Amino acid sequence: MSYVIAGWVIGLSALGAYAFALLARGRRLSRLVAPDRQRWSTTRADTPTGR
Amino acid sequence: MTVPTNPSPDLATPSATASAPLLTSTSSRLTQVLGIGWAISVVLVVCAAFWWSEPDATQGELVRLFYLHVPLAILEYVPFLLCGIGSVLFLWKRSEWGDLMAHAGAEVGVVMCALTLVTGAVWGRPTWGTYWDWSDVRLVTTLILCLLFVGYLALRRVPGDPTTRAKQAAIVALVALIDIPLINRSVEWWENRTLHQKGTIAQGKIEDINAFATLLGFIMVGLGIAFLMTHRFRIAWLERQVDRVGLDDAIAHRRAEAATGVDASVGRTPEEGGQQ
Amino acid sequence: MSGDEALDLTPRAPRSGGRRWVSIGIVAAVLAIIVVVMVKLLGDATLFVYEADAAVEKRTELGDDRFRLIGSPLEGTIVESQDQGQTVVAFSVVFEGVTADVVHIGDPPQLFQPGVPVFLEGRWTPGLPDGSDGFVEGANDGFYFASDTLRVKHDSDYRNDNEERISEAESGGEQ
Repeated sequence: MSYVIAGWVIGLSALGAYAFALLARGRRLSRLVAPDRQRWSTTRADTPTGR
Repeated sequence: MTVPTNPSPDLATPSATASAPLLTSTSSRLTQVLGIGWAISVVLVVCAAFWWSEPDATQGELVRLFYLHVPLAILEYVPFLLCGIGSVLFLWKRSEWGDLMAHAGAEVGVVMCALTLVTGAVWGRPTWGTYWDWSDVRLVTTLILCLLFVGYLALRRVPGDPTTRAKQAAIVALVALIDIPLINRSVEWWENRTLHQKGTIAQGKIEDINAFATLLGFIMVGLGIAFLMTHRFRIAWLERQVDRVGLDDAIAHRRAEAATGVDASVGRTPEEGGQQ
Repeated sequence: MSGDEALDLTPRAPRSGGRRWVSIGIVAAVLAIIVVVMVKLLGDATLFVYEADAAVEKRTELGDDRFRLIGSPLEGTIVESQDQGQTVVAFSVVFEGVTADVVHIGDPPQLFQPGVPVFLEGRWTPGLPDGSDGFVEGANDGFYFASDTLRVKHDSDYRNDNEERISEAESGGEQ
């Protein structure tokens, strides 16, 4: 059973760590790009950007 | 080299970013729904794997790792195939979206493939008696797939002309994809050279609550891939925008120099300056 | 701006070669690893594989060549002992009705059990293992397969424990 638990812990924690790394990378990069170039954003219209 | 210049850099100015706190991520309603769905499915599949499902008649408790390893092993092909589709779109139509999708698919695919190998090794030790078997064709061809796409990602980091690099990467991706049918058919073609069993899922050889746990595993990994792919694609898009802004900045810099006749970066004329 | 159409965009300084060479080094390292992996795969592929019936039939021809033997351990033949701190497992495998006796040195995998096929690596050895009077319900044909590698190959059927017990009960406990 220890192998099963080890497999699950490694699998889920690696997926979680990768997901958090992507979110952090996205957050850092999106600060460098103008909001109107981030088409997925739904809050664009509400945000004052000066453009 | 001379090119027509384009005056509209997309860089978010400090004042713009300061006033746009809500726009600092790759998240959207879609990814929020995917993320919540993924988190719920993780909880459900862990419950199904450890509490709701029964031990297997042969494997006993070890079958509980099946619900993670098998969905990873099968669905890892999805990001790689998206990488292949993106590569074809780039080579055929010079599609920028295709190139970005290819890059995102390769990275997510490598993560999934590496996890397939690791969870498989952990399962293999008590089941087969070894973490790794060099004569198992499925294992080795899966490792080769992972390595080929690691090479693809390394190739994408080599500095140079982005179009040439994207073209080379697309060709590497399409060559690497030839490995997928090899992995898939290896248990049939080299039956005596593989410890892997023939297709359990395809032949419906898993039933009842264990089949339900497997289905939940597929949903969990599928939602995870959708979530990761969406974020990774947006990151690739943002990286492309940042690169473009850098180029636009450089052009604006040269334009300023051309107007004043002074190398603005070092404060001297080209005649005085020579190489930087 | 009037000068835009012919703006000089020639790079003034060569790019730093450091990152380029690191990236090219990574690509080269990955290619080298792929070659090593292929060599390992092809190297292992040179080992002949025989099911128990073919291995018994070709025994003279095989001599003391190393090969891979495939068969299913027979119920009631597995005897585990210790020799100089090492686990020794004596058992017999069957394939297509032909039985071959095996002595494996090393710990068997958790899944090792009668009826679940195994891959063994080793060679034919004449006689009986030291201190042995023969294999329990084995072939006892004057040869045994001396194995140092044992891998379990489970089949593609997944049935839970309860179902197995119910089907055994329904069939009158024949199995």
